Amino acid sequence: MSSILVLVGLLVLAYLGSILVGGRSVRGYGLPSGSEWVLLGLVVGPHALGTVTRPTLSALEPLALVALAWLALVTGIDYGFVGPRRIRLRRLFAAVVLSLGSAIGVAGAFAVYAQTFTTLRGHDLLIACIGVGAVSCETTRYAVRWVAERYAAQGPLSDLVADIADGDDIVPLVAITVAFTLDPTPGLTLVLPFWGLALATLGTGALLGALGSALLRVELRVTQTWGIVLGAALFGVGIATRIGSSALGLCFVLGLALSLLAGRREELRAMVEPSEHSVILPVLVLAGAYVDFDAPARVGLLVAVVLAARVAVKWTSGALLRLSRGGQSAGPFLGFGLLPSGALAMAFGLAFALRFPGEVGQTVLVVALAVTLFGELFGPTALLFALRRAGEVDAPTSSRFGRRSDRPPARAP
Amino acid sequence: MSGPAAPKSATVRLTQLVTLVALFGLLWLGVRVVPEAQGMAALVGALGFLLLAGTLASEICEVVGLPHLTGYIAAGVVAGPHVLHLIEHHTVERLSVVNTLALALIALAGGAELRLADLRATAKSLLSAMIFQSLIVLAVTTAAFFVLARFMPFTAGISRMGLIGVGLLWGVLAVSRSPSATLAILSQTRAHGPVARFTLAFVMSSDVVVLVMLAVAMMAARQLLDPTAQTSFSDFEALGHELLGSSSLGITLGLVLTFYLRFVSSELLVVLMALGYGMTAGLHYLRFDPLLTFLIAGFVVQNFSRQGQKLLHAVEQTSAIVFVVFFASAGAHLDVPLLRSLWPLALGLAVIRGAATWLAHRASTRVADDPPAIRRYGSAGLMSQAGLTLGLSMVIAREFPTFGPGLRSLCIAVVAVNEVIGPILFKLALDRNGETAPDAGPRAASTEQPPLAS
Repeated sequence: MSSILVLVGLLVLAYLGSILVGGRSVRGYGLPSGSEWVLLGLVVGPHALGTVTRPTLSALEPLALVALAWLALVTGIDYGFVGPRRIRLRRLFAAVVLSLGSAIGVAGAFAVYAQTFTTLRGHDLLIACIGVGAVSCETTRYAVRWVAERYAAQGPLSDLVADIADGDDIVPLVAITVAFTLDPTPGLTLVLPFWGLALATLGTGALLGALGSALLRVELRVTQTWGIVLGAALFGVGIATRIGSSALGLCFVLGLALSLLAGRREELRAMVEPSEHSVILPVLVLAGAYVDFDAPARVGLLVAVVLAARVAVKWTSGALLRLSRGGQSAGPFLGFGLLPSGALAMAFGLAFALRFPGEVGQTVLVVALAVTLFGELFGPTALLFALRRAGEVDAPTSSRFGRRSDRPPARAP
Repeated sequence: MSGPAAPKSATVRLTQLVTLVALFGLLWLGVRVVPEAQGMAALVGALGFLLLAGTLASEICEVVGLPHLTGYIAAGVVAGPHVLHLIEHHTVERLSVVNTLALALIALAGGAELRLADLRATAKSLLSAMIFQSLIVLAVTTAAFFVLARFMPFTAGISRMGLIGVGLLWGVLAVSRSPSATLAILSQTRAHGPVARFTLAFVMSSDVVVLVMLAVAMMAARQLLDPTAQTSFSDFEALGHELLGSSSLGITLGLVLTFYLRFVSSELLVVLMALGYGMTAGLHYLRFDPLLTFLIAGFVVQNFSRQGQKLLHAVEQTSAIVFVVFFASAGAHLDVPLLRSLWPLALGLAVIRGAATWLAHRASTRVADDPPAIRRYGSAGLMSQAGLTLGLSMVIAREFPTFGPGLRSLCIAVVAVNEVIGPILFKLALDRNGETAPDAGPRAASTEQPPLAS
């Protein structure tokens, strides 16, 4: 299939995405983490039906990279907020600690598995561990939002879970930046240690964000604002890719800096949010199409180990959250309610697959796929149970047949 | 469209200048750290850089009253492969992917800006201008080419009659104008008035005339270059196919867009992007003209439905991005060494073309009895040349491989001159005639729909 056809197909998906994910009238339908789109990509990809071939995917790599970076940028702009509500620092800290704990837990389990059953060693193993940790640590805010909107949940537990799901995004984004800088582009004329390169990447994002903010403070026209935000993001992607670092990390910091320094967070959020909806579905489909089950060794065992570790760390996270004021009434299902993982995890997996073609990248992508599908099966249901137990959702009858509740959503997304 | 901003303070201008310098510094550092960038990194980075640097350079150009377009081009030229080498040649070539979409949107906007009522009102002027511009500019520039041919190495060995044939091809190139530059200036200035209306209508409709003229000129040139060759009407056949096919598809696309705008109307930008890429690829495959197709589609939506404003609004919201990328990459594409080596010839031919255009305009406005504003300032909008002319020169280079590439190089050099001078003249004319929108001041972001939102 030609790259133009695939591009048009992706634009059609973007169109659907903006309607299905963003359209208020139909939001809350489909699967919470968008797994059906990942599966679609998997089916049409080069390793199943082959409708989309490997060269076509290669031709679309710049587009995929920009889409991933754009998601990171939007995450950065919105970071620290759930809708218009600012997340309290204590919760933000808790989200980061829990996410970091999850990443370390899953990465540790993977390291044991990899040393026993794979040939990954040293440098490659370290990168794969960071990657697996990065795609396994977050709880997707999309699924949390989906449950909250579909069942019109509101209350302290809903807020807590939404805060944790929003606040934990920073950990995988920083982890990816570190992982990428462990293997910089050959031929760099400036020799820096990996941490120096990681800091340079994040610093460039901050610098671009500061420059963009300086411009946004004096430029109120929307079209020019778009030019500045889009230009800064693309330029950042170019710089990061040039040095072999993570465009996602750079764009996340860029978005964060724009949000903090431009003084127009609400406007920026309103401006870029619809584009996020348009980007998610193509990213999910592309990620699915990139999955190659043949690349990682002993896929079944890999998936089993990672899922077991993820369930364990998320259950522990849930148990710790139940100690807080908002989580006291949640019951034992809260930890499992933190299992959903979707667009961002798949985006991180795809970023790894693009950056590290072969066993390392594919291992991370397969893990991302596994945690997404598994989270899809159990996460939303568990979260719903926890919310019901806390008395924050309607009676079961209102949504028994999968219909939207008549109640308005708890908050603006 | 983003209108002219309120006058900005010196601090604002200084901020913009410092940011521009910082961006150049950052790209320079990136290029120094990784001299051999991957294609993908270079492409995406260049796109972002041109977008930012073009926007900033255009703001700084405002200080001295130059059009934004000049700033976009300047940013591209300075960063491009011939000045600072921050953007490599192969990267500039790859930016044409983005230009595909830009051209589609520009043509769509161009068609949607053409109103039937305006065309009817200026029909006499347009017809007169079309005849005089086509004949006088063709004759004068063909003659000039014939006279100056001795200074052009690629014409060596061509007979006198053959030189007339090549001159005719040159003449057709000289008759062509730049729809994109015209729209970019109108988009920036939001000009309304007789000069703006006349220029827009003339430049857009002359596209079709130029295509016909090229087919005739190519047939004549073949005969003049090789008198023993049999007359072939294959160019006409191809032209008929192209014009009819493009028109039919343009009308169909216009109707489809009308229905979409009427009954769905959401996520218009995504729809336009899909149409821009998908249809352009299909049109190239069918050997139709995408510019004409999108132009007609926009025209149909504007004049045969009530959805014109909706379409214009959607396309206009992208204008700040589309025009920056299109012209900044055109600037990066500008072959400075070629211009340096051919500048006396290029400048001479550009001046002759300008003089012929002015002369033809004087004659046509006299015959059509145009209002004084058009008489005085109307020719200024007809000087710009850009992508359309270069596209025609590519066709000539392909059809006449012996001298075509040389002619194309000369064309690139002349277009470089007209691309820079033309927009400045047009904006000056609009300003002088008082057609530029009064200072609207910066529009608050919250009052506008973001372009990617429905």
